Amino acid sequence: MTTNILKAMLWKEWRETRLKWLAFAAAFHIPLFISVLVVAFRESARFDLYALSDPVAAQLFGFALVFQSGFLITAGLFLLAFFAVGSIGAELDNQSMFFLFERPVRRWHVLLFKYAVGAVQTTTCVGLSILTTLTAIYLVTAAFAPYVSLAGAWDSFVLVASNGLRGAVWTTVVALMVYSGTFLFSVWFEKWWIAVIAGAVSLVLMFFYFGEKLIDWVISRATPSDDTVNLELYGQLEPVPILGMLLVSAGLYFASQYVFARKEMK
Amino acid sequence: MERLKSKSFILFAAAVLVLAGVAAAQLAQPTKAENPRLERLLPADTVGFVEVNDLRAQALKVIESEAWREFTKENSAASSLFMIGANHAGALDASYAMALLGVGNNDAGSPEPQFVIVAKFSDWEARYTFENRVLRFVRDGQSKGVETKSEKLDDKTTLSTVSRMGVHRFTYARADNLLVVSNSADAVRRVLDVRSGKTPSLETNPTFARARAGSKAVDGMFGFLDGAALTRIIDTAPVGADEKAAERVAAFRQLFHGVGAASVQSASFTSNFEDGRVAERFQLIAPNREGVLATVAANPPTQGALLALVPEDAVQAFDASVANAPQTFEQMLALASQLGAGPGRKGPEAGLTEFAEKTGVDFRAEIVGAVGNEFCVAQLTSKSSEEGASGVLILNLKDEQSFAQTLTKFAERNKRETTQRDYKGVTVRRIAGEKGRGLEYAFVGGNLVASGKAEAVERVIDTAQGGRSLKAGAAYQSAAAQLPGQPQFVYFNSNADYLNGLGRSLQGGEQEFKTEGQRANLRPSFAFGMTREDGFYVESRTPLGTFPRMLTAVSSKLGQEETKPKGAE
Repeated sequence: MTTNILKAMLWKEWRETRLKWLAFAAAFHIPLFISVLVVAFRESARFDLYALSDPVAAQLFGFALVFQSGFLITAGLFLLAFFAVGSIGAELDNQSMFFLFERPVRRWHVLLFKYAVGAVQTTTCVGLSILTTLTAIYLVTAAFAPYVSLAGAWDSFVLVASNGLRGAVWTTVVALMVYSGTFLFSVWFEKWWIAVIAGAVSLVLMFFYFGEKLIDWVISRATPSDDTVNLELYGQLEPVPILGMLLVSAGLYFASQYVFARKEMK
Repeated sequence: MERLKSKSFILFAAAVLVLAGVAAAQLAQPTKAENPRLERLLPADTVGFVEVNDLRAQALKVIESEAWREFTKENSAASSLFMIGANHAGALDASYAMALLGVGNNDAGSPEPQFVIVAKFSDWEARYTFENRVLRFVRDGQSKGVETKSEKLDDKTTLSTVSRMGVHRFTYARADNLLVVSNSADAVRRVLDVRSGKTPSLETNPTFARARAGSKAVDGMFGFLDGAALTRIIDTAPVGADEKAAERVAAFRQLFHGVGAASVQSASFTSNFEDGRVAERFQLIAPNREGVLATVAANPPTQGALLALVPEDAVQAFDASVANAPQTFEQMLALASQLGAGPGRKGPEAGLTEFAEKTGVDFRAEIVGAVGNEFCVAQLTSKSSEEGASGVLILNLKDEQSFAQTLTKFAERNKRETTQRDYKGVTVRRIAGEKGRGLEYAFVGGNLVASGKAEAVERVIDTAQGGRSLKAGAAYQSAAAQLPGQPQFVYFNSNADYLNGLGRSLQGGEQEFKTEGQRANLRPSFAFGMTREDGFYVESRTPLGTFPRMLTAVSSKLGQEETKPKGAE
């Protein structure tokens, strides 16, 4: 495979998925959009924003971190599954995949590129959404709250954001695992809606067996009560489950390659 | 360009525009709690009422104010959480009026004043929150045996009567975004009648219309008292069968007329934010003044001469004309004699005689009679930070020698040690008191200067001998520039200690505020009062007026209720 072919395949993947990726990136900021709407339409919320001061803004950042993380590891995973499910199945269904096979590329290369681009897109979205949400809240409060300034709230922002990096690691790993699982279904089932159902059922089962631990690792320890966030306990990194999830992701990827290699395509 | 013409892009852009439009409309639309003109819901013969317009708007103005900005620098987290607490107490989304409608008979047939609270909320949800939280709070406060009976007056209006052990406690009605609470069911019905247009509202009362028109501001707080209605209530109030009660009612009527209160047509009060501070205005309409009121009104304006003796860095100072003090004293004494007359009672004359026997001083002739034209009290900063501020009294005298003899006589009679020393050519005397205390005094330019601390007297002497005075200071001059005429009294406060006082007044809730060591460069507070042809006028400009106390009441009472553990109920 030449470098030109490699570049062309990357370009093709990016070109085909960039708008979907942007929409996906926006969708991962749904809590932020909801917050903006609440502030716009509820006088009481505007008042709270107006009454904020630098030290209290730190609490707001903390809540934003926990809320966004909670969104990512619950509803966000369904969004992610919805994104990943169209990776392969659609191209198999409309038979556009066969144009690639006319090129001097191997079958597993095609899947590798699709997996890699999709995985990078989804995990980047998920991981960065914590930091972009925090940054947006930091900028909005500094702009609209008279007693919050960029300089005054900077230390709080940096503290929360640096702790948020741990959450970014967790959510990225979880996202990669869910993406890999749904990617497998996308390879397996040519009809996208079957893959969606399979992905959703898998996610529900994952939450049933694994959800409580997942929430505990990322959020619960940091929120012993409703009105406080203990940043030190937020998303404490635990190597065993993280490595475990990475192994599962790798396994799911290889399973996808296995299925794809043996798939009968007409 | 092609993309701009695509159907999905147009639909998306349209949706965004609609959303932005709705948000803008929502932001621009005034809530129903804003400028509600609650007088339209009160009967025309309402005796008086106080209203607060749109509590949320007032809270926002507090946040934007100069003083809160400074306060937040010192109490950053606490001030923020205090406001957020007030926000979530559930009482900000409304305008409130508390009114006295008159006197009516209660269930037992006894006369009682009819008070009513009218609250107009921004929406039904805000009303529901308030009703659920505040009224439940009141009901639960009554403990056991509380019974609520509700009846539907029409499709939208429900009248509920709350009683305990069979005794009526209060009645409330709710309709849409309105809540009316009163100690009397009759009062609630009167308000509902006005609302439905069956009876005229206070807005049609010409006395009220004049007072409302005369008030410069209608947002913030507004208060009104109908003098004629109040006089009517007092003159016609049933005295009852109890002889002592009848005597007390008669005495009160005499006092009311004697002080000239019956000659007051109306009183109005406004308090609102102007230029980041609170302007409060009180107006008494009494063109045909009588009694003590007439004497006080005839008092000539103060020249503010004593303020020239107050050091420039004084914390606060009050200066008033007291030229008519002897006449006012005599009138009050005569009134007290009439009220106090009766077998076995000591009248005020007896009290004066007793005072003379104990002190050796004739209060009427030697104290009141010696008072000159002006009186001033000030609080001065101390040179040393440990001692704190000290008070000083400066009193203009008719006869300095005579007054000096009175003080000497008082000291001799009461066997108090007296000493004297020279300070920059002025004799400073001291009358020793109990527990190491005493009175330091001197005479400066025909005025008595007295204080518990020698330093305060010395500082006044320094000022009189060329030191910088409050009156000549830029802060006072700037504040006094707003005087529209010759005032009868002026009050000045540098607000150097304002933030500490604000911290103290906000204490008591969940937040801890600094109460010491805060210094802020706030504009000074200034107040003045003057007689006008039609009555009296008082105006003040302070950092926050009474609004912080109001918010404290809201946040501490309702906030606590909100967080009350279930087990405590």
